[in-house]
Amino acid sequence: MQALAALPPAPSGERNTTIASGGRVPLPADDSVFRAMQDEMDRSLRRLRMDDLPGPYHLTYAVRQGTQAHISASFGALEASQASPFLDMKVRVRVGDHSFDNTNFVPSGFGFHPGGQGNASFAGDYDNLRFTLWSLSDVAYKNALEVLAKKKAFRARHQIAEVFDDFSREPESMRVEPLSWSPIDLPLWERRVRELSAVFRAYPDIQESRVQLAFGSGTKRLLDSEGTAVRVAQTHVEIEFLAQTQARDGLRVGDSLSLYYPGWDDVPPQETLLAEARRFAQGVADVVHGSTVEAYVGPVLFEDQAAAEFFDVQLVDNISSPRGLWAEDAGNRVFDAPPFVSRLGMRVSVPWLGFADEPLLERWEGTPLFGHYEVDEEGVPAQRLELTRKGKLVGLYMSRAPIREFKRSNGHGRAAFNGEPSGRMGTLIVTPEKSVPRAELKERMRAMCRELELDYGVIVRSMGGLTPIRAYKLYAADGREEPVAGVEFVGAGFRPLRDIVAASKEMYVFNFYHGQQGRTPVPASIVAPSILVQEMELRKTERKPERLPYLKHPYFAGKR
Amino acid sequence: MQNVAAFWALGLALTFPAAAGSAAAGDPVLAAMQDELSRSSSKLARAGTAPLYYLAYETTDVKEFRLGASLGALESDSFQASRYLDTDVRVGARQFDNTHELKGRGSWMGDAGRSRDRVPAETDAAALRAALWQSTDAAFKAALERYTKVKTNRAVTAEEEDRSPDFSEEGPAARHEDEADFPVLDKDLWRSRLKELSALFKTHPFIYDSGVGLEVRLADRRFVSSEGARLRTGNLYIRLSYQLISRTTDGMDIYRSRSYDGDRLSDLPSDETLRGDIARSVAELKALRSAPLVEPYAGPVILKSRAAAVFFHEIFGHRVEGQRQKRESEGQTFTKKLGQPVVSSFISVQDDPTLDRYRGTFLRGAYRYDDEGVPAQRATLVEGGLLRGFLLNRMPIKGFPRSNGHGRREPGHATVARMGNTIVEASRTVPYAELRRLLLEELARQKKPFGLVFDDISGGFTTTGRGGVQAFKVQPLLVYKVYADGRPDETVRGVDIVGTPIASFMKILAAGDDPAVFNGTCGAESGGVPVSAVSPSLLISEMEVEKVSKSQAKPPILPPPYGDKP
Repeated sequence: MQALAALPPAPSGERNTTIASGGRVPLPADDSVFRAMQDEMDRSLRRLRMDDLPGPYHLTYAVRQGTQAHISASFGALEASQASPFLDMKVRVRVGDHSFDNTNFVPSGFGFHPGGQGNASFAGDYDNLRFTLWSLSDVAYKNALEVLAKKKAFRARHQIAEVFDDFSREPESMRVEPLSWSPIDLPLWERRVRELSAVFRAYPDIQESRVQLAFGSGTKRLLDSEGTAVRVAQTHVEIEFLAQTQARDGLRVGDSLSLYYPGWDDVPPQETLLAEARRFAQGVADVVHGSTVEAYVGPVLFEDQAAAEFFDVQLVDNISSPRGLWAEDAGNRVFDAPPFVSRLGMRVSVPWLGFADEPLLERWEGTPLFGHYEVDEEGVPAQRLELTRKGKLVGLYMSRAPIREFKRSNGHGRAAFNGEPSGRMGTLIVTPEKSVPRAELKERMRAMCRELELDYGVIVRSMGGLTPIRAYKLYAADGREEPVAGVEFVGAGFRPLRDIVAASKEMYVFNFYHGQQGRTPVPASIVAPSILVQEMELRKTERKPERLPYLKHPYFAGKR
Repeated sequence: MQNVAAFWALGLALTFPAAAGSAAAGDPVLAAMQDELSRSSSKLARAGTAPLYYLAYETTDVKEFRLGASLGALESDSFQASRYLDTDVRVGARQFDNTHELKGRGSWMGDAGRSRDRVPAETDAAALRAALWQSTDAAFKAALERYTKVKTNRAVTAEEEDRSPDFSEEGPAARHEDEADFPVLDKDLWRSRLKELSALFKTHPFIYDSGVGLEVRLADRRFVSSEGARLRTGNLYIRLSYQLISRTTDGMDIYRSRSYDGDRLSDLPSDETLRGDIARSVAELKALRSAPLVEPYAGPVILKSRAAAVFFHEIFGHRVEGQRQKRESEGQTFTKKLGQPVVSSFISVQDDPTLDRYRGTFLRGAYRYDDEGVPAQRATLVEGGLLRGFLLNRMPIKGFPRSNGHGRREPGHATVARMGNTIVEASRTVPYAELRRLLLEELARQKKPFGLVFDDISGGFTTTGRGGVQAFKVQPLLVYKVYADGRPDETVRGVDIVGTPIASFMKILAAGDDPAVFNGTCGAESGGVPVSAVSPSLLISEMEVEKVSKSQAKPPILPPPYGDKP
């Protein structure tokens, strides 16, 4: 266990988390990183001013320090393995004032980051850090002035009358956790990842596979000029399985499975991971022998992960980053407000399903939640957020960028470290008021099929977006299952959320990175029951098949 | 910190547990490559719509240790080991195959039937062969598809001027195995050394960014082909470098940098030398900050040796790469000049990758076999000012049916003819002091008030395509004005060399006796490859300079934090 190259050991002194709000508590005196951030921020606030232009009205400095590792293996051999220490920082500068500043605007032709990022001394050397913060602040400030000028011109040119504030006022908050980080036992994990990747040697139907481990552990610090100070410890372990192959008709099939753990103690024993690998491999291999469906209109059962993915696409995507950004380039619609902003107060789902986001939950029945956080990327404490009431939309994910309906953040200002915070999910909990045992959903679907005179119903077990990856026919007559390859939904729209007819008692925890176009991915969880949807339409995919390999896989060539 | 050395030792040991010393027993990685090659080349020969007539695998095992320090602290510290695979597939026949130029398409060998993958870095034959199989299948399909396209393209476009084949016949396939080892490094010593050196910049508040880096990179290549080649050959590249950046009050970014190259740690300079060089660079940067701008100028100049080497590499070297004589999209500056004067008559140019030292200095462009398995060879380019040849890979050009061992690439790219060690020599030379006196003489003759001395040049760009003007632009980093009236030399800034290439080479009046080596990485179609250029200082009777375009950014508003009054 010696992977923390050149990082000082975590201090053993403080063991308690300090939480405060509405009144400044001094920062820990022995934290040289915080000291460098504070000292340079003070200097910038006082003196960073170009000619007769105004100085910054708000500054944010964030520093992420720790160690990261990556191991990758395929078919029983390592492809790469490395571990290294790092320290990244980002600086965000706001000029103007809370009502109108340089943000929420996308100038054409250059990045819309209102600041800069860089890397610096990973051991947290005071002088080195201050120097880098100084250099980033200077560039970010000049950039901010330029963007503000462009934004003013944009507003004038388009005669925009209704202007919301750019930055909400929030009370200062403080949360300082004890420093702690874990090392990685690289040789041990090289062995384990190699062994996991060898599982695929038992699946001749899979053409290409890979197992990867990504590890990061360290401390994130955030300081802003309104008195918010955050220091949180973070560790994450991600184990990812990837496989791709071709169905018998040549259609490409690829799937992945990611498992996330907030620390080494949560990683299950190798036997469990091997079983996960086999289950995943079998799922992909099944598709190879799947039959296709020319056209289908009828009930669809979304099981476990697929149900979570369904809610992600049908609800979360439509209420994320509600503050649309002005884009200088008129063709850029990526940053428009999502569709459900205009449906607040309207019915979006069946009334007996409740949707709430609970980022403060650490676990669900013992399973760690990847969407857990205590403070968001803008330093606002995480909060529970009610999204629907009796099927009507009542909440949106809010950062400190106000909209007409909501002027304040609800602690969901999130982004990857190098991204711009916007209203994003943490952990979505989907609670059914009425539910049935999971096995009964299949019986319900078979009954529906018989009534509709359908030979079979469709079960979806994983998706990419709203496109099924692993799907099965469930025959009404005898309940047998048969894999399906190469199908896609047609004209789903926003209807299916209101067409759910049943949900399971069993809840599935889906941990993933929530992606949004134009935004950075954020760690997220969806806890949801499996669901049965009354009616959806499927057809054969429009994708074109590719020729199968000319030669047999060399490993399996003599074995079948 | 005490665990650091142990950690890195593990990092090194993990990657190739079975590779060491296995050459004698038969390298298992080469064996796996050979097995899959034999299976694929025989079974695919008649499997597609066109015959597969050539298949080659090249793997490059890279082990890289990098350290970066700034202002007395480490900013990066990493070790990485990876293996890259290049698969080259040729379908059709030597005379005409899938790699043929697609005319009028802008892109050239984009999908010529090869693919790059990251593959298992261990010796496990099953895992390696699985990766080779996937790569081969993808490359074979791409080759067949492109072959169909080039056949149609040839049928519907005008006849080509150069009708030489697409792939050369070479002598017996090479078989050779050597190994380069990753050196034993005292990493903690290097960490503290870099920290100390990087702290030297801290006392100069006009420096807005600075850093010191160490890079130790082992590239271990294996190559097998359906023609029977079986090679393993390694190169070690060690580089220590520093850079310092500032900005003038009128918004021009200025910088100084220096790098030291070798294949042994003992090639690197002592701390004393480094401290001296850093002090000189700091003084140069300071002088540049207050240096006046040069107005557009045409007149006599001296290119100091390393600057002259870069100049030759950019302006001459790229234009004698074989493919530029053949492709219809190229300007073909030199194609029809064989046997004719292209440079002043006392100048000769050769490219010799077989040398790993020039008068004791390490040459980064050395290799034993190129990326097509052809032995490295000396290519005579210019003799007594007359053009004698080109840099050639296995794509024949009119009058040159064979490769001269210059087929090179960075993993992931299609191989083309590239430079290795480009060496400019003069049959008569003078001491530098005399060269400077000749410059003054030339100033008097041309009645110019001053001339320019280019002390340092960074790589620029050169356009060789037919669509663009046959011009070039390189970026002088350190330039002095030499006055005809004997005033002291003056540092100036803000100049770019411009002009047309053929003209400037004929205007070399004299050469110094001070050849020096420039080691760098050269970028072109086939990626970045390590190269060297060697030249003496050159006096050129006329060269044109223009004003450099600059950013509008101002220098930082506040001074650097340390030393600033609160």
